[in-house]
Amino acid sequence: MKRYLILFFAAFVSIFIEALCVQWLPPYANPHLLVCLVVYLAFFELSILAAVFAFSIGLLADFSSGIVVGPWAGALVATYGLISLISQRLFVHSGLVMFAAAAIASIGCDLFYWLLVLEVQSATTHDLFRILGSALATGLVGPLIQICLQRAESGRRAASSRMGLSSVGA
Amino acid sequence: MVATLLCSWASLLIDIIMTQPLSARTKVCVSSFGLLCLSLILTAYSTRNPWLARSGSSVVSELVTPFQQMFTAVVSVVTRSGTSYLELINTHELNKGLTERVKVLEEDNARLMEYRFENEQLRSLLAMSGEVADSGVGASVIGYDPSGWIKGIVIDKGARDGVKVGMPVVVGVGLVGQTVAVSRTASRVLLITDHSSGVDVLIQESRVRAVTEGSGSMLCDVRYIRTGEVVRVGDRVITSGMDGIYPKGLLVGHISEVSRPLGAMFQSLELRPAVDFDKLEQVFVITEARVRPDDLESSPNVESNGPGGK
Repeated sequence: MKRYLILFFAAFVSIFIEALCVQWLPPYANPHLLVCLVVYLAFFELSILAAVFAFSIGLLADFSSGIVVGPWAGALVATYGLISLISQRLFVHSGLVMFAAAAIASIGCDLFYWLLVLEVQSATTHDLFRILGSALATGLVGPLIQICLQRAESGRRAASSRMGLSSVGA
Repeated sequence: MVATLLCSWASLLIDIIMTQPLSARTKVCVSSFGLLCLSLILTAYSTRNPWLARSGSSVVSELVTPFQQMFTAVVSVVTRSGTSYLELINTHELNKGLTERVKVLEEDNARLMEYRFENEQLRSLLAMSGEVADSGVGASVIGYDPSGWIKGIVIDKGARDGVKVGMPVVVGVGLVGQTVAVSRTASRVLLITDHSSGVDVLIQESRVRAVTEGSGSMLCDVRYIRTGEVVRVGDRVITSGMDGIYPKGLLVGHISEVSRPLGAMFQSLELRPAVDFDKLEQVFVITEARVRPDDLESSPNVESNGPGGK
């Protein structure tokens, strides 16, 4: 449960950082930090709760955009489902694998979102360059997020084991 | 009807996941698929009912806005500090440049002040020379008599400029002396304060004639004024024009001391020259003095052509 708390806090911070990146970075350099979180979840957590969590943070992203509710939720849960199918065949601790997975997942999410919102938002060819640029930025950021989350979780596990040992000693 | 269908389908899905002996991976895939379908339904619903997206967006904004404001304030403080630091560096460089420029401007100003002073001197020389001289030449003082025994100056004009021995030398405020030695490019001027200098003068107020002689100091002696004549301290002393060297009307100085020794025939007077000989820089040599009508009347060589004449 604590893992999901850490991930939920990370999701909240990611949305905040993404809002800042939109202000300071050009559109083709904005990374999808939520996609990196979902990819990390698909690599290391295989459960229904994780799928529901991916859906939830997608809903959070939809509400923060305020256009349509549902596209990001669907994109992220689809990403989670697909990556979790193949995660067993990947060396998930490799940074390169995380880079590739995050970049491809970012492209998939953007295309999925693009298809779903075509009814309410017009699309241009510039969006294609934006999608590719975002994918590259997401891929570069992915391994960093993986390292941060692993460190956060290892710190949590060490703290838990110390608490367990101390209670045994008592 | 659609809602009923959805609920029944969802319950079937949940039943399959919970009860059937499926692997974890399969359960995850099935649940992901179910959630994907839910997201599609939500998308279709919120497209036709925008209130859902708007209300959710307002809730999220309420949660995020305080953190955004805090972050923006911190960034603003850091940016301002950085800008202030950069401005401080620029100010330092600007200050250095301006200090250099002030130095240059101060030097230019000093030079211009010098030009102005020289200009005023020359203007006063020109104004005065117009009154007493038909022609003359301006000269700069280039030195003082090296022997120290003679009160004299050296000027940078000589024979090639039309200067001759015995020509009067003046400045705007008064009489300086006369030329006593002339070379091709320079001349020596004997000041009126020298022992061997003598000037025929008039006390302007009382019209008493006298002779001014140098005393070797910065003052002159005025001689041959009878004790009965009224002369006061401060009276103006001008050239009389009778000695044939200095034109009439040039200011020599002012009476600074009057004494009448008992039993003496003449008064003992002291004159303070109008010219400050320590600060001489520019002088005017009168090469041809202007003759005024009152000069002709007072000259002994002029013939009278009145009704009683001839």
